[in-house]
Amino acid sequence: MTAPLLHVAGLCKSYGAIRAVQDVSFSVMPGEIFGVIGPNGSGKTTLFNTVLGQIASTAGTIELDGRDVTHRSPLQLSRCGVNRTFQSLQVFGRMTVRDNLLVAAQEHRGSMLGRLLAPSDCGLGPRADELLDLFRLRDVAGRRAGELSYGQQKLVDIAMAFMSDPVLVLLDEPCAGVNPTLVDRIRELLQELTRRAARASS
Amino acid sequence: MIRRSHWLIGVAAAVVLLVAPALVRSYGVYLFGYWLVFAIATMGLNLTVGYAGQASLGHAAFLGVGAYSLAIAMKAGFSFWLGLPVAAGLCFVLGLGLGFPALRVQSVYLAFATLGFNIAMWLVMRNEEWLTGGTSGIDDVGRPSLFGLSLAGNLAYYYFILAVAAVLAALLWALLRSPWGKAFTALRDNPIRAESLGIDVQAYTLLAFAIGAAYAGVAGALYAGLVQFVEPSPFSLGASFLMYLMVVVGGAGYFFGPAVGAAVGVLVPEWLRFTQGWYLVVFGASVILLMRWLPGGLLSIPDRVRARRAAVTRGTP
Repeated sequence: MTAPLLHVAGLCKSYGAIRAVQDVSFSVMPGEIFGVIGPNGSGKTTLFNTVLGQIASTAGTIELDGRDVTHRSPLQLSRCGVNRTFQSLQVFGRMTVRDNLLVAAQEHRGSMLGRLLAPSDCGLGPRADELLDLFRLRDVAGRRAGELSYGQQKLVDIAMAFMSDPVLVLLDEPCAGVNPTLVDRIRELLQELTRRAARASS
Repeated sequence: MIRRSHWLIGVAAAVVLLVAPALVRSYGVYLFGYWLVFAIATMGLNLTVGYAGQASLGHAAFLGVGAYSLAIAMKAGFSFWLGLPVAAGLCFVLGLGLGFPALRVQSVYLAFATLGFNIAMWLVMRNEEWLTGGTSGIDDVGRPSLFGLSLAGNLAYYYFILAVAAVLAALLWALLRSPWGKAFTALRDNPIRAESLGIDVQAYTLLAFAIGAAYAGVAGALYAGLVQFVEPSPFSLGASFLMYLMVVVGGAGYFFGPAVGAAVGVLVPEWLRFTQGWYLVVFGASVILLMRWLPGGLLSIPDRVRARRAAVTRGTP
């Protein structure tokens, strides 16, 4: 029995009298794909934002790999290898698809000053190519992300979250507003990425 | 993507920059130099405003600090070649010092914080006579010589400013293509996503702000050598507004936006001299019209044309 990667216990978030998240506990094991399902307005996004430090929780603890990470900022969590996507599309519209992927992982490479003098891709080119191929985005790699179709932007958005070889990725509604064919594709991609990550860590 | 038309424009611009000043009278040479000084200063402001997305209305303060640093250093007997890097370094440090508290707020609040800084610095320049000479300023600011070659002549000094502008433009070009440049663009487009990907938004905005200030410092030092007389009035709030205007008119976030915007801000008022007292009205009205029809600035025209053409081929109006 391995220890859980993410362990959330008794998490609460209230806005005045409104309890958006009430006493939520769950564990996610390494290599597991864990889904949170609920109707609109049931607090899924609030749960996400609370786990990720975007908003402060009212009560409860969050442990990552046995370490307490309650009240860490999104920046600190990203440094610990936790990435996310957002409910709405959040690509950098004026940058190319390839640059979107590169910038998504460059902060995990070297020091601030080192990055000033580093080559433009911070040595992340091969990793970007790997994900561009996997997500079938090679043909549009040089286009501005904002010019792509919604479905393609969704793929870029998800690929960005996986660029830095994270230990945990939280995807907020990865299939919202996406046609059924692409939903299947995204599911396959997530399974493939999980398999590859498991292989790399074993 | 460098196309042939870009090369042609580049070569034409280089020829104009190198040849035209040699053909005009001394006031024309001065105007060319004046334009380049503002192009350098607004290059820095464009980094802060156009790339990192921070509204700064205190840029003239850094221009002034640069000018006074050089003038004071030279009065104290130090070389121009020491004064220039000191001006840049001092503005960089001052930019960090101002940015650290000020960049905790955004948009209009940041504009007010930087505006207050501009007024405070202007008061120091005007009131601290022991240091700055007060309203009578510091005169006889010298010009340097390079490898025994005197840069005291107007044309020689112009070429010196041109060389510095070219070096600083190349450095900015490299910076924007480095991982830092990507981080600047990312945090302007979407700071929340940027932060969730590990981009330290606070550190990068602070650096963009301080580097922008250092560019203004160099521009200020060059300005002091150009007019050879430093007094507080060119560094008032009005100059900060004008530089912000130059960035926006040229096209915020476009690499050559500052060069175009500074040309508009420096040259158009000269051409409108014949209207005498009316020039500010005409200038102001044309800026309002420009912002109404071209909010992205002059350099957004090619992008707009391309977007329209793409819309036509797709069959959507």
